[in-house]
Amino acid sequence: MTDAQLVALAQQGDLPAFEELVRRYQRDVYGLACRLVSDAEEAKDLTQQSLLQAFVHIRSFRQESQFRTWLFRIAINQCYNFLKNRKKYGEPLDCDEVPLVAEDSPEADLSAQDDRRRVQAALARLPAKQRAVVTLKAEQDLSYEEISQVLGGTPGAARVNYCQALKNMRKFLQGEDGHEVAMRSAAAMAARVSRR
Amino acid sequence: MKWQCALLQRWLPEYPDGELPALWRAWLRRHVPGCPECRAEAAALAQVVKTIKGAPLADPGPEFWRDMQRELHRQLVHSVQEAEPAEAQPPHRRRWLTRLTLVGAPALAMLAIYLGVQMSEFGPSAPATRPQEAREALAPSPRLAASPKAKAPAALRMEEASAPKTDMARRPASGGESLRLAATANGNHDQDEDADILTWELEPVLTGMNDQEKQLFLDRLEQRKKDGSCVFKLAGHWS
Repeated sequence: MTDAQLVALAQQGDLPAFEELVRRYQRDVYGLACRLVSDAEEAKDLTQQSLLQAFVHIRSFRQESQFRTWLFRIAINQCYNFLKNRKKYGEPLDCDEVPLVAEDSPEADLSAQDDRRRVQAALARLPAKQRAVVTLKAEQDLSYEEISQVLGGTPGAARVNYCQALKNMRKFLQGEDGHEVAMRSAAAMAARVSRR
Repeated sequence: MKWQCALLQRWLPEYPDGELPALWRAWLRRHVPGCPECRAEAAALAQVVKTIKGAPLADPGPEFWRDMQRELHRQLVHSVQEAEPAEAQPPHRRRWLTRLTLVGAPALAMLAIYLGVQMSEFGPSAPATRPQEAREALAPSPRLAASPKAKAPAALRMEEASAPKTDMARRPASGGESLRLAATANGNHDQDEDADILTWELEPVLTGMNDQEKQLFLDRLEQRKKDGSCVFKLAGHWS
Protein backbone atom coordinates (compact mmCIF):
# COMPACT_ATOMS: atom_id res chain seq x y z
CA MET A 1 0.00 0.00 0.00
CA THR A 2 1.42 3.40 -0.93
CA ASP A 3 1.96 6.28 1.47
CA ALA A 4 -0.88 8.23 -0.14
CA GLN A 5 -3.34 5.36 0.41
CA LEU A 6 -2.23 4.93 4.01
CA VAL A 7 -2.50 8.65 4.60
CA ALA A 8 -6.02 8.68 3.14
CA LEU A 9 -7.01 5.86 5.49
CA ALA A 10 -5.36 7.57 8.45
CA GLN A 11 -7.25 10.74 7.62
CA GLN A 12 -10.45 8.76 8.08
CA GLY A 13 -9.25 7.77 11.56
CA ASP A 14 -7.70 4.40 10.67
CA LEU A 15 -5.15 3.90 13.43
CA PRO A 16 -3.45 0.75 11.98
CA ALA A 17 -2.83 2.64 8.71
CA PHE A 18 -1.14 5.43 10.61
CA GLU A 19 0.91 2.93 12.60
CA GLU A 20 2.11 1.43 9.34
CA LEU A 21 3.31 4.90 8.33
CA VAL A 22 4.99 5.17 11.71
CA ARG A 23 6.82 1.89 11.13
CA ARG A 24 8.04 3.18 7.77
CA TYR A 25 9.39 6.51 8.97
CA GLN A 26 10.14 6.29 12.68
CA ARG A 27 13.82 5.55 12.01
CA ASP A 28 14.20 8.58 9.76
CA VAL A 29 12.48 10.86 12.24
CA TYR A 30 14.48 9.48 15.13
CA GLY A 31 17.74 9.87 13.19
CA LEU A 32 16.92 13.45 12.34
CA ALA A 33 16.01 14.22 15.96
CA CYS A 34 19.21 12.56 17.19
CA ARG A 35 21.31 14.65 14.85
CA LEU A 36 19.53 17.84 15.81
CA VAL A 37 19.40 17.51 19.59
CA SER A 38 22.37 15.15 20.14
CA ASP A 39 20.56 13.28 22.85
CA ALA A 40 19.11 9.80 22.35
CA GLU A 41 16.49 9.97 25.10
CA GLU A 42 15.29 13.42 24.09
CA ALA A 43 15.30 12.30 20.45
CA LYS A 44 13.04 9.39 21.36
CA ASP A 45 10.61 11.70 23.14
CA LEU A 46 10.70 14.19 20.29
CA THR A 47 10.08 11.41 17.77
CA GLN A 48 7.03 10.27 19.70
CA GLN A 49 5.75 13.82 20.03
CA SER A 50 6.26 14.43 16.31
CA LEU A 51 4.42 11.26 15.34
CA LEU A 52 1.61 12.07 17.74
CA GLN A 53 1.33 15.58 16.33
CA ALA A 54 1.29 14.12 12.83
CA PHE A 55 -1.62 11.88 13.79
CA VAL A 56 -3.54 14.69 15.44
CA HIS A 57 -3.11 16.99 12.43
CA ILE A 58 -3.17 14.44 9.64
CA ARG A 59 -6.54 15.70 8.39
CA SER A 60 -4.93 19.02 7.60
CA PHE A 61 -2.30 17.30 5.43
CA ARG A 62 -3.41 17.93 1.84
CA GLN A 63 -0.88 15.58 0.23
CA GLU A 64 0.68 18.44 -1.72
CA SER A 65 4.08 17.17 -0.57
CA GLN A 66 5.27 13.72 0.45
CA PHE A 67 4.13 12.46 3.83
CA ARG A 68 7.78 11.93 4.81
CA THR A 69 8.59 15.57 4.06
CA TRP A 70 5.60 16.74 6.06
CA LEU A 71 6.64 14.50 8.96
CA PHE A 72 10.17 15.91 8.85
CA ARG A 73 8.77 19.39 9.04
CA ILE A 74 6.86 18.53 12.20
CA ALA A 75 9.92 16.86 13.69
CA ILE A 76 12.15 19.82 12.85
CA ASN A 77 9.71 22.20 14.52
CA GLN A 78 9.61 20.01 17.62
CA CYS A 79 13.41 19.89 17.71
CA TYR A 80 13.76 23.65 17.22
CA ASN A 81 11.36 24.25 20.10
CA PHE A 82 13.33 21.86 22.25
CA LEU A 83 16.64 23.51 21.34
CA LYS A 84 15.19 26.92 22.02
CA ASN A 85 14.13 25.84 25.50
CA ARG A 86 17.42 24.13 26.17
CA LYS A 87 19.30 27.21 25.07
CA LYS A 88 17.08 29.26 27.33
CA TYR A 89 17.97 27.08 30.29
CA GLY A 90 21.65 26.97 29.31
CA GLU A 91 22.02 23.19 28.91
CA PRO A 92 24.95 22.28 26.62
CA LEU A 93 24.84 19.77 23.77
CA ASP A 94 26.44 16.47 24.66
CA CYS A 95 27.36 14.43 21.62
CA ASP A 96 28.19 11.38 23.74
CA GLU A 97 24.50 10.86 24.37
CA VAL A 98 23.71 9.73 20.84
CA PRO A 99 23.71 6.00 20.04
CA LEU A 100 27.19 5.03 18.86
CA VAL A 101 27.39 1.28 19.44
CA ALA A 102 25.93 -1.10 16.88
CA GLU A 103 28.63 -2.98 14.98
CA ASP A 104 29.28 -6.67 15.31
CA SER A 105 33.02 -7.01 15.68
CA PRO A 106 34.79 -5.11 18.46
CA GLU A 107 37.41 -3.60 16.10
CA ALA A 108 34.82 -2.38 13.68
CA ASP A 109 32.78 -1.22 16.62
CA LEU A 110 35.62 0.89 17.94
CA SER A 111 36.43 2.35 14.56
CA ALA A 112 32.79 3.06 13.74
CA GLN A 113 32.22 4.57 17.16
CA ASP A 114 35.14 6.89 16.60
CA ASP A 115 33.83 7.99 13.19
CA ARG A 116 30.35 8.54 14.58
CA ARG A 117 31.63 10.53 17.48
CA ARG A 118 33.70 12.74 15.17
CA VAL A 119 30.81 13.36 12.82
CA GLN A 120 28.39 13.96 15.64
CA ALA A 121 30.79 16.37 17.35
CA ALA A 122 31.30 18.32 14.14
CA LEU A 123 27.55 18.39 13.47
CA ALA A 124 26.86 19.59 16.99
CA ARG A 125 29.04 22.62 16.38
CA LEU A 126 27.03 23.70 13.36
CA PRO A 127 24.14 26.15 13.66
CA ALA A 128 20.83 24.31 13.97
CA LYS A 129 19.68 25.14 10.47
CA GLN A 130 22.89 23.95 8.84
CA ARG A 131 22.73 20.80 10.95
CA ALA A 132 19.22 20.20 9.68
CA VAL A 133 20.23 20.84 6.06
CA VAL A 134 23.20 18.47 6.24
CA THR A 135 21.13 15.75 7.86
CA LEU A 136 18.29 16.09 5.40
CA LYS A 137 20.56 16.22 2.36
CA ALA A 138 23.41 13.86 3.19
CA GLU A 139 21.58 11.32 5.36
CA GLN A 140 17.96 11.46 4.24
CA ASP A 141 18.73 12.20 0.57
CA LEU A 142 16.12 14.91 0.21
CA SER A 143 16.30 17.23 -2.77
CA TYR A 144 16.77 20.97 -2.26
CA GLU A 145 13.13 21.43 -3.21
CA GLU A 146 12.06 19.07 -0.43
CA ILE A 147 14.49 20.62 2.03
CA SER A 148 12.97 24.01 1.30
CA GLN A 149 9.53 22.52 2.00
CA VAL A 150 10.76 21.19 5.33
CA LEU A 151 12.74 24.19 6.49
CA GLY A 152 11.03 26.99 4.60
CA GLY A 153 12.84 29.32 2.21
CA THR A 154 13.85 28.53 -1.35
CA PRO A 155 15.74 25.60 -2.86
CA GLY A 156 18.56 28.00 -3.70
CA ALA A 157 18.84 29.07 -0.07
CA ALA A 158 18.90 25.41 0.97
CA ARG A 159 21.75 24.74 -1.48
CA VAL A 160 23.78 27.69 -0.20
CA ASN A 161 23.17 26.55 3.39
CA TYR A 162 24.28 23.04 2.53
CA CYS A 163 27.44 24.27 0.86
CA GLN A 164 28.28 26.46 3.83
CA ALA A 165 27.52 23.62 6.25
CA LEU A 166 29.88 21.27 4.40
CA LYS A 167 32.66 23.83 4.51
CA ASN A 168 32.11 24.26 8.24
CA MET A 169 32.00 20.51 8.73
CA ARG A 170 35.30 20.14 6.90
CA LYS A 171 36.82 22.73 9.17
CA PHE A 172 35.45 21.08 12.31
CA LEU A 173 36.44 17.59 11.20
CA GLN A 174 39.95 18.75 10.41
CA GLY A 175 40.05 20.50 13.76
CA GLU A 176 38.88 17.32 15.42
CA ASP A 177 41.64 15.38 13.66
CA GLY A 178 44.15 18.02 14.67
CA HIS A 179 42.83 17.84 18.21
CA GLU A 180 43.23 14.07 18.16
CA VAL A 181 46.79 14.33 16.80
CA ALA A 182 47.59 16.85 19.49
CA MET A 183 46.04 14.60 22.14
CA ARG A 184 47.96 11.58 20.83
CA SER A 185 51.25 13.47 20.75
CA ALA A 186 50.61 14.74 24.26
CA ALA A 187 49.96 11.21 25.42
CA ALA A 188 53.13 9.99 23.68
CA MET A 189 55.07 12.82 25.25
CA ALA A 190 53.70 11.88 28.65
CA ALA A 191 54.64 8.24 28.06
CA ARG A 192 58.14 9.24 27.01
CA VAL A 193 58.47 11.44 30.07
CA SER A 194 57.28 8.64 32.32
CA ARG A 195 59.77 6.20 30.71
CA ARG A 196 62.56 8.60 31.43
CA MET B 1 40.76 33.08 -5.78
CA LYS B 2 39.37 34.19 -9.05
CA TRP B 3 35.84 35.56 -9.21
CA GLN B 4 34.92 32.59 -11.39
CA CYS B 5 36.10 30.13 -8.72
CA ALA B 6 34.20 31.96 -5.98
CA LEU B 7 31.06 31.79 -8.08
CA LEU B 8 31.44 28.15 -9.02
CA GLN B 9 32.38 26.89 -5.59
CA ARG B 10 28.85 27.52 -4.39
CA TRP B 11 27.82 24.69 -6.65
CA LEU B 12 30.70 22.35 -5.83
CA PRO B 13 28.77 20.09 -3.42
CA GLU B 14 26.67 19.07 -6.43
CA TYR B 15 29.66 18.45 -8.68
CA PRO B 16 29.85 16.27 -10.75
CA ASP B 17 26.39 14.62 -10.72
CA GLY B 18 24.19 16.37 -8.21
CA GLU B 19 21.20 18.70 -8.64
CA LEU B 20 22.76 21.10 -11.13
CA PRO B 21 21.16 23.18 -13.85
CA ALA B 22 22.57 22.24 -17.24
CA LEU B 23 24.33 25.57 -17.67
CA TRP B 24 26.20 25.32 -14.37
CA ARG B 25 27.02 21.67 -14.89
CA ALA B 26 28.63 22.46 -18.24
CA TRP B 27 30.54 25.37 -16.74
CA LEU B 28 31.80 23.30 -13.78
CA ARG B 29 32.87 20.48 -16.08
CA ARG B 30 34.89 22.92 -18.13
CA HIS B 31 36.38 24.76 -15.15
CA VAL B 32 37.07 22.29 -12.32
CA PRO B 33 39.47 19.88 -14.09
CA GLY B 34 41.70 22.77 -15.04
CA CYS B 35 41.59 24.63 -11.70
CA PRO B 36 43.63 23.03 -8.87
CA GLU B 37 41.94 25.14 -6.20
CA CYS B 38 38.42 24.15 -7.21
CA ARG B 39 39.48 20.56 -7.72
CA ALA B 40 40.87 20.42 -4.18
CA GLU B 41 37.77 22.09 -2.79
CA ALA B 42 35.49 19.65 -4.61
CA ALA B 43 37.49 16.69 -3.34
CA ALA B 44 37.41 18.02 0.25
CA LEU B 45 33.64 18.54 0.19
CA ALA B 46 33.13 15.10 -1.34
CA GLN B 47 35.24 13.65 1.47
CA VAL B 48 33.08 15.39 4.08
CA VAL B 49 29.91 14.01 2.52
CA LYS B 50 31.49 10.57 2.38
CA THR B 51 32.44 10.82 6.07
CA ILE B 52 28.91 11.81 7.05
CA LYS B 53 27.33 9.07 4.98
CA GLY B 54 29.86 6.57 6.29
CA ALA B 55 29.03 7.26 9.92
CA PRO B 56 25.29 6.91 10.26
CA LEU B 57 23.72 6.72 13.67
CA ALA B 58 23.71 3.29 15.23
CA ASP B 59 20.38 1.50 15.17
CA PRO B 60 19.18 1.22 18.77
CA GLY B 61 17.87 -2.29 18.10
CA PRO B 62 14.47 -3.96 17.65
CA GLU B 63 13.61 -3.79 21.33
CA PHE B 64 13.91 -0.02 21.27
CA TRP B 65 11.53 0.26 18.30
CA ARG B 66 9.04 -2.17 19.84
CA ASP B 67 9.02 -0.13 23.03
CA MET B 68 8.58 3.07 21.12
CA GLN B 69 5.73 1.67 19.02
CA ARG B 70 4.01 0.32 22.11
CA GLU B 71 4.27 3.64 23.88
CA LEU B 72 3.19 5.55 20.82
CA HIS B 73 0.24 3.22 20.31
CA ARG B 74 -0.90 3.95 23.86
CA GLN B 75 -0.63 7.69 23.24
CA LEU B 76 -2.44 7.45 19.91
CA VAL B 77 -5.31 5.47 21.41
CA HIS B 78 -5.54 8.01 24.21
CA SER B 79 -5.63 10.89 21.73
CA VAL B 80 -8.32 9.13 19.67
CA GLN B 81 -10.46 8.62 22.78
CA GLU B 82 -10.02 12.27 23.72
CA ALA B 83 -10.78 13.50 20.24
CA GLU B 84 -13.84 11.32 19.57
CA PRO B 85 -16.53 13.56 21.09
CA ALA B 86 -15.08 16.70 19.51
CA GLU B 87 -14.62 15.11 16.11
CA ALA B 88 -17.90 13.27 15.79
CA GLN B 89 -18.48 15.24 12.61
CA PRO B 90 -15.98 15.62 9.80
CA PRO B 91 -14.06 18.93 9.77
CA HIS B 92 -15.89 20.42 6.80
CA ARG B 93 -19.21 19.74 8.54
CA ARG B 94 -17.94 21.40 11.68
CA ARG B 95 -16.76 24.37 9.63
CA TRP B 96 -20.18 24.69 8.04
CA LEU B 97 -21.85 24.37 11.41
CA THR B 98 -19.67 27.16 12.76
CA ARG B 99 -20.44 29.39 9.79
CA LEU B 100 -24.14 28.58 10.04
CA THR B 101 -24.09 29.44 13.71
CA LEU B 102 -22.25 32.69 13.08
CA VAL B 103 -24.71 33.75 10.39
CA GLY B 104 -27.82 32.08 11.77
CA ALA B 105 -27.66 33.33 15.33
CA PRO B 106 -27.86 37.05 14.43
CA ALA B 107 -30.52 36.27 11.82
CA LEU B 108 -32.61 34.42 14.39
CA ALA B 109 -32.12 37.24 16.86
CA MET B 110 -33.28 39.77 14.26
CA LEU B 111 -36.30 37.62 13.44
CA ALA B 112 -37.18 37.34 17.11
CA ILE B 113 -36.89 41.11 17.55
CA TYR B 114 -39.00 41.71 14.46
CA LEU B 115 -41.68 39.32 15.64
CA GLY B 116 -41.57 40.84 19.10
CA VAL B 117 -42.09 44.31 17.67
CA GLN B 118 -44.89 43.10 15.44
CA MET B 119 -46.61 41.33 18.30
CA SER B 120 -46.26 44.30 20.59
CA GLU B 121 -48.07 46.44 18.03
CA PHE B 122 -51.20 44.43 18.75
CA GLY B 123 -50.60 45.16 22.37
CA PRO B 124 -52.97 44.37 25.16
CA SER B 125 -55.88 45.76 23.11
CA ALA B 126 -55.59 43.01 20.50
CA PRO B 127 -58.20 40.32 20.60
CA ALA B 128 -57.01 37.04 21.98
CA THR B 129 -57.52 35.26 18.69
CA ARG B 130 -55.38 37.61 16.54
CA PRO B 131 -51.81 36.74 17.71
CA GLN B 132 -52.78 33.12 17.53
CA GLU B 133 -53.88 33.64 13.95
CA ALA B 134 -50.56 35.37 13.22
CA ARG B 135 -48.68 32.45 14.65
CA GLU B 136 -50.77 30.07 12.62
CA ALA B 137 -50.03 32.13 9.56
CA LEU B 138 -46.27 31.89 10.23
CA ALA B 139 -46.49 28.13 10.58
CA PRO B 140 -49.21 26.99 8.23
CA SER B 141 -51.05 23.87 9.25
CA PRO B 142 -50.67 20.73 7.17
CA ARG B 143 -54.26 21.13 6.04
CA LEU B 144 -53.58 24.59 4.71
CA ALA B 145 -50.27 23.63 3.20
CA ALA B 146 -51.91 20.76 1.38
CA SER B 147 -54.70 22.87 -0.02
CA PRO B 148 -54.04 24.55 -3.36
CA LYS B 149 -55.61 27.74 -2.08
CA ALA B 150 -53.56 27.65 1.06
CA LYS B 151 -51.32 30.53 0.26
CA ALA B 152 -53.99 33.13 -0.08
CA PRO B 153 -55.59 32.66 3.35
CA ALA B 154 -52.23 32.41 5.03
CA ALA B 155 -51.08 35.63 3.41
CA LEU B 156 -54.34 37.23 4.31
CA ARG B 157 -53.99 36.22 7.91
CA MET B 158 -50.47 37.56 7.99
CA GLU B 159 -51.72 40.80 6.57
CA GLU B 160 -54.44 40.73 9.12
CA ALA B 161 -51.96 40.13 11.92
CA SER B 162 -49.64 42.90 10.89
CA ALA B 163 -52.22 45.47 9.84
CA PRO B 164 -52.75 48.20 12.38
CA LYS B 165 -56.51 48.24 11.72
CA THR B 166 -57.20 44.71 12.86
CA ASP B 167 -58.91 45.56 16.05
CA MET B 168 -62.30 45.35 14.46
CA ALA B 169 -64.15 44.18 17.51
CA ARG B 170 -63.26 47.26 19.53
CA ARG B 171 -62.89 49.89 16.85
CA PRO B 172 -66.05 51.81 16.11
CA ALA B 173 -67.00 51.15 12.53
CA SER B 174 -67.92 54.00 10.28
CA GLY B 175 -71.27 53.99 8.56
CA GLY B 176 -69.85 53.01 5.20
CA GLU B 177 -67.90 50.19 6.69
CA SER B 178 -70.91 48.92 8.55
CA LEU B 179 -72.95 48.93 5.40
CA ARG B 180 -70.24 47.08 3.57
CA LEU B 181 -70.05 44.68 6.45
CA ALA B 182 -73.76 44.24 6.43
CA ALA B 183 -73.79 43.75 2.68
CA THR B 184 -71.10 41.15 2.93
CA ALA B 185 -72.86 39.42 5.76
CA ASN B 186 -75.96 39.50 3.72
CA GLY B 187 -74.66 38.06 0.51
CA ASN B 188 -71.17 36.94 -0.45
CA HIS B 189 -69.65 34.07 1.42
CA ASP B 190 -66.19 33.03 0.69
CA GLN B 191 -65.69 29.69 2.36
CA ASP B 192 -61.91 30.11 2.27
CA GLU B 193 -61.71 33.01 4.65
CA ASP B 194 -64.53 33.42 7.12
CA ALA B 195 -64.86 34.94 10.57
CA ASP B 196 -67.55 34.52 13.14
CA ILE B 197 -69.21 37.84 13.77
CA LEU B 198 -71.07 36.42 16.74
CA THR B 199 -67.95 37.03 18.78
CA TRP B 200 -68.08 40.73 17.96
CA GLU B 201 -69.44 43.45 20.14
CA LEU B 202 -72.30 44.97 18.30
CA GLU B 203 -72.29 48.32 19.99
CA PRO B 204 -69.41 49.88 18.05
CA VAL B 205 -70.69 48.35 14.83
CA LEU B 206 -74.12 49.79 15.22
CA THR B 207 -72.82 53.22 16.15
CA GLY B 208 -73.39 55.61 13.30
CA MET B 209 -76.16 53.59 11.65
CA ASN B 210 -79.59 55.02 11.38
CA ASP B 211 -82.50 53.05 12.75
CA GLN B 212 -83.39 51.52 9.45
CA GLU B 213 -79.87 50.28 8.86
CA LYS B 214 -79.62 48.99 12.40
CA GLN B 215 -82.88 47.13 12.07
CA LEU B 216 -81.86 45.66 8.74
CA PHE B 217 -78.49 44.58 10.13
CA LEU B 218 -79.96 43.03 13.27
CA ASP B 219 -82.62 41.20 11.31
CA ARG B 220 -80.06 39.71 9.05
CA LEU B 221 -77.86 38.85 11.99
CA GLU B 222 -80.77 37.13 13.68
CA GLN B 223 -81.49 35.26 10.52
CA ARG B 224 -77.82 34.13 10.29
CA LYS B 225 -77.84 33.03 13.91
CA LYS B 226 -80.82 30.88 13.21
CA ASP B 227 -79.50 29.17 10.12
CA GLY B 228 -75.93 29.00 11.42
CA SER B 229 -74.35 30.90 8.56
CA CYS B 230 -73.32 33.95 10.56
CA VAL B 231 -70.07 34.68 8.75
CA PHE B 232 -68.79 37.43 6.55
CA LYS B 233 -65.89 38.00 4.30
CA LEU B 234 -63.04 39.87 5.88
CA ALA B 235 -61.20 40.58 2.69
CA GLY B 236 -63.89 42.84 1.33
CA HIS B 237 -64.05 44.74 4.56
CA TRP B 238 -60.31 45.47 4.73
CA SER B 239 -59.66 46.13 1.09
